[in-house]
Amino acid sequence: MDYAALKALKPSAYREAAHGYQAAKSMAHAAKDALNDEIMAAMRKSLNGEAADAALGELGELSKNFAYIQTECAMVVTELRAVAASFASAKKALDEALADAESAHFTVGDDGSVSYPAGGDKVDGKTPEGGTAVGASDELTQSFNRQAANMEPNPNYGRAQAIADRILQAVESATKADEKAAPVLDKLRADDDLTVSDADWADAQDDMKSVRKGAKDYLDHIKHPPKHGTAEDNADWWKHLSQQDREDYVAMHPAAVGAMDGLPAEVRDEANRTVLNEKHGQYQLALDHIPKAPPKWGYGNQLNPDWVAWNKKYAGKAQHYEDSLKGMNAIQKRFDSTGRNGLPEAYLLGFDPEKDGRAIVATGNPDTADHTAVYVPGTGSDLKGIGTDIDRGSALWRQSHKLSPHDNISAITWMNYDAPDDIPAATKDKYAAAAGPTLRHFLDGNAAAHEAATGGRAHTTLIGHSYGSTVAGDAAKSPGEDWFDNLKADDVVAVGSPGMQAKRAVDLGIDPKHMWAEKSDGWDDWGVREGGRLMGLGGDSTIPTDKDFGGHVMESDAPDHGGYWNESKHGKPSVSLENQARVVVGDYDGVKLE
Amino acid sequence: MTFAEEWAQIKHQVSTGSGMTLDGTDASSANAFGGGGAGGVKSKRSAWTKAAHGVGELGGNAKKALTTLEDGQGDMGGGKGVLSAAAQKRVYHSWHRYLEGVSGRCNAIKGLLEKASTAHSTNDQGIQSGFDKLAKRYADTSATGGTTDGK
Repeated sequence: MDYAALKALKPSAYREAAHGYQAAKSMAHAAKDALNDEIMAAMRKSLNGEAADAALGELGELSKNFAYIQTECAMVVTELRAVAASFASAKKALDEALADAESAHFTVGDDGSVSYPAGGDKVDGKTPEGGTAVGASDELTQSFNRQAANMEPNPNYGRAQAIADRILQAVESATKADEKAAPVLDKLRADDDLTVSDADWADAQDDMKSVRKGAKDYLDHIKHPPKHGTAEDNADWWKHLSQQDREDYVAMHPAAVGAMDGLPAEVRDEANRTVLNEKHGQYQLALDHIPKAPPKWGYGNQLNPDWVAWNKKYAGKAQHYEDSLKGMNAIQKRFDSTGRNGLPEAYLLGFDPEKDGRAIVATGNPDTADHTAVYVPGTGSDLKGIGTDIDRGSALWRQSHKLSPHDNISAITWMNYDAPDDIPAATKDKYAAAAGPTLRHFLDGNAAAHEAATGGRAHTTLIGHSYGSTVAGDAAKSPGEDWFDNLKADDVVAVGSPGMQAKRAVDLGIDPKHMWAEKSDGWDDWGVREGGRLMGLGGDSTIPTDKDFGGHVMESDAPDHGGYWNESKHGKPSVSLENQARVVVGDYDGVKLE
Repeated sequence: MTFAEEWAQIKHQVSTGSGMTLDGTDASSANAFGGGGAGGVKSKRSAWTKAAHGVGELGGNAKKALTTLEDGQGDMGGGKGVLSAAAQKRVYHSWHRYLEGVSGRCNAIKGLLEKASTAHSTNDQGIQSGFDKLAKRYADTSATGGTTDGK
């Protein structure tokens, strides 16, 4: 870029172009939502058979087109805004220099050089001549020019040189921005086919990194969220961002936004779905690229050394990718089930495939719910097995909805902590101690988002299964937004609990009238409860199903430690499930006690 | 058998009532939680029609967004030397093409959904193969966004 180009450049044209992509992005977002939550949901409700499946398959692909447009065009918008800002800044500097030239009656040439008239005190009877100053940006020449200005009798020279330097600086700044932006923009071109593949999503993730880097200065002007903020701090931060800043921030930091307690459920869901798409693409691609394992056994029944080398390098990674993808596919399956048997929209409030993986999946919008259930799974929980936990959330929703069909219900599966792998590992409280504050923070966020949406709160029931109830206990004990704040849950249910780290419900700040517990006659459930009691996960050897704990023990027909959410083929709930649902909808009189 | 021949067969079967039950559903496809069963054909037809209408609207919205995208393009000034302007043009053309493609896909799907609403609901094969053909039309290439050829 040269002086003439910068002079003619219209930074506003970049912003206007950005508007066009913004429209494409908004359209795509709305189209995707209409497809998933209305059109496909309605089809799933009323149609089945091969033709319907084929149609839904094709519509699913169309939905991906819209998701892809949304994600990529959002990035184009951010990048164009960043470029416009850089150019506008350079243009402003240029215009200021040109204005100064004009007021000094200097002429600026086509190349940006500045011509100055004769001036200054006469030397040998002559007024010192005028001349032309050529802009310099390197130290050496600038220093040389400064010396020349000191010796020059015509004061116009020094001023002209300064202006020429400023012109050059503006042009160089614009050139730099231009050279930086062009390759980033080129990366944001659309795919050449209409199949949105894993490679396309992995590519989108790379594009995001490029834009983050390329638009860094522009993005830095957006106020960052509070570090270690409370849920209310986060809600406040979001509330005060302009629409444009929100769009840019989400486009660039979907993972951070998706994880932020206190933000609206819809915002977290959109952000996390973008992360899910990109991670799925990245992981699937990575898995596909792992070379096939060589044969395990070699001569004379010895381990093949090639296999040993392969195993050392790849086996762990391959397992991680496979496990994570299983979980991601289960989440996608839930999205694809919206509309079946009346299942409402799902909201992905958390997603992270690192290590054992975490996810938070809500059925029904928690920000506008009348009753919300938060189900915390126990030992062995991870992203790989999230399907089971999502199904339990769906069962809770179904049965709660049946009991109170005119209320808005949200059932949240909160698998957002590092769960111990099994009971022996679970005997230490350290997992729950780490998870407690995270759960509390989530419940605070849930309340803050609901407050922002409706001005009030939902009746909230926390359901801890197995070690999940221990986590609930630690959550109750961790500090809240103010020290005297109780857990933002109106009812607490402990199901198959090995202990809640307290002797009595009151010690956790829980009103015993709103404390409920269930157990199973299965030997594995007994093992969990008594094992927990023995190992000190309770309080003073007391666990929630003990009378001393102070809560209500509900009737339960769970055949084993995992069987608390069973439904018959025709949708009739088990006793265990119905009792939980009664608490969820606040029908305390309807609960069957032991 | 060609698509047209399959459709002719469907229409014949419908008009003669051969091999089809009255409401066109079978017990195994009945939804355990309600839906399907008696009155199934009429409600299924309207489900297909409703879906067709919805997808048609999406195609229209994509077309509208295309116009807004076009409207946003203007002279950025600065001439040929501005690399980012040239790059933006390339980006624009790619998304223009993509949006057109998606709008076309919506219309193609709408057509198939409408066909499904007029066909007998249990003869799924013809409808299914229609969608399979569509999927083939939009198959993946090795290139991803930002590349001009398979890398």
